[in-house]
Amino acid sequence: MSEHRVGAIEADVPEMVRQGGREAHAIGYTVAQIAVVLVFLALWQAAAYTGLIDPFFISSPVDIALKLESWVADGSLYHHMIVTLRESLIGWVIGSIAGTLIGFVLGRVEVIRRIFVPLLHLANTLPRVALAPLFIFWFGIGEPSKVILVITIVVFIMIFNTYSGVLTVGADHLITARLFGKSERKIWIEVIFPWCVPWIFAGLRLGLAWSLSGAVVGEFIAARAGIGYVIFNAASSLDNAGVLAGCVLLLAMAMVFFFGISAAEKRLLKWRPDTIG
Amino acid sequence: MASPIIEIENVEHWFRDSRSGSLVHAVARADLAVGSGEFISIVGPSGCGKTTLLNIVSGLAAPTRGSVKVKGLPVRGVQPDLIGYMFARDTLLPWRTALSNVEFGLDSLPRPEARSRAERFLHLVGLDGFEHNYPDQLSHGMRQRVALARTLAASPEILLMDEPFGALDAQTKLLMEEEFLRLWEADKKTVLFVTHDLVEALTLADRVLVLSARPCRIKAEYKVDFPRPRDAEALQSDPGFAAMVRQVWSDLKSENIRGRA
Repeated sequence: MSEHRVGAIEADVPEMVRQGGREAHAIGYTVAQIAVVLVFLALWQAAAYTGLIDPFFISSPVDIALKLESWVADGSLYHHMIVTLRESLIGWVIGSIAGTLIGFVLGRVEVIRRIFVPLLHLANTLPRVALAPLFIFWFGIGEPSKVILVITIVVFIMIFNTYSGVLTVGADHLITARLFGKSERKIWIEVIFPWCVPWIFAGLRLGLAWSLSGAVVGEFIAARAGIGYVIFNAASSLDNAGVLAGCVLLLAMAMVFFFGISAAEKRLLKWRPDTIG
Repeated sequence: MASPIIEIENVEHWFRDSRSGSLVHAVARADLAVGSGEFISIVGPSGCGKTTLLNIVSGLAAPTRGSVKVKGLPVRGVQPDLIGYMFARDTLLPWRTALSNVEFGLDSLPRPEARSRAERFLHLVGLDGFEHNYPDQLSHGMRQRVALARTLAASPEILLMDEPFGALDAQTKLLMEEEFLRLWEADKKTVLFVTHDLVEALTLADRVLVLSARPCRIKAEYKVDFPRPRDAEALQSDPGFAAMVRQVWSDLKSENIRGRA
């Protein structure tokens, strides 16, 4: 085609051009969220202080803070957090990689999919924490047994997410790729894999939340360290401030996980208008 | 006509409906010879098998009976170097920018050349400044321009177009038709253009084929010899043009009624 310049288009200006006001709103909402949390903590503290609720059962924000302070002072906070962090992250990474690879194989090879998907669904209905005592028996009271437990949870999430992604690749995209003469390899790299990225991220997000609970439940059953171990011990000595202080630490870890994955997602999925961040 | 670039002979086609599982007789019989550089519009009632016909020429589907030849050779599978195929549906890859979507069809070129060619074609369809926008940040009309640029940039000799402007609003559609006419008149590729819009068909084409209701056959054929270059807007207000639209419509109307019965 030659250098014919086509008339300008006024008819269709994209909608996203006018999004400037959103940032200001986002900050407003964050402030409101912090306020809600502070009010909740203040009411809780006031109720405990006035005797409206019994601090022995419910504890209070100040007691929890004092507990955390003592753990920081004696160095146990860092020690236990690192253990739980290591168990859940190692398990999450291994489980995610393995699950994604298996998911792609299932999505690609119909025979394997037909044989294994029903079996995998069946296996996935078993709550993995029920196997935790067995893992501890096999892999010991230390960290490996918790890592294994986390892997068995995360791997299924990633398998199902990835292969669902592969199976739903837009037919039009595949046809277009064929019409442009793309090889099978290029179709995987340029169409199927990018298509699956949002599915994989959804799995990673879900897997991260579950990896933490997997590690904690494992530590409940038998461990020498970790937040789950701390919570379990506190509960056995009726130290509710200790239980809740452990929960605060888990919450903090989950938040760090969440922000980390949101940041990665935002970078990789900037083409999606609905990317949560 | 010198030796035709597309020859469709005795083509009959059945396909199995994926939902109901029943066999559908889509094309009863099609015979068509298309000259190189000819612009043919195909109109017909909804679901009459127009798209099936394009799929067969593209190599995406093989006809149940009969033969299809492109440049004298039987069609076996898609021919990316020879044929470009554009749909009404939005087929851009949402994770690629406009520029990168146009580059999608330019694998055979070295990267810098692919880039500059993609830029040039986005410029030709009037999308300067939108190269780095994602499809979701473009209006529907702009996305179809990107798709058009992607199809044209790959420089196929034959363009198959399945209602490419069908989902656009009336104004955007007229604009796209004018742009496409100008681009086409610059180098006259062979075009098979499926549409349900008679005005569009007659504005663009050298020849308009009217298909019957399913199973389709070619019911009538009109030569359109309004002079080129054509001005879509001026043409559409021409009395001779209006008379021709009425004439083709009377043919098509009976098929529409038959197709619905």
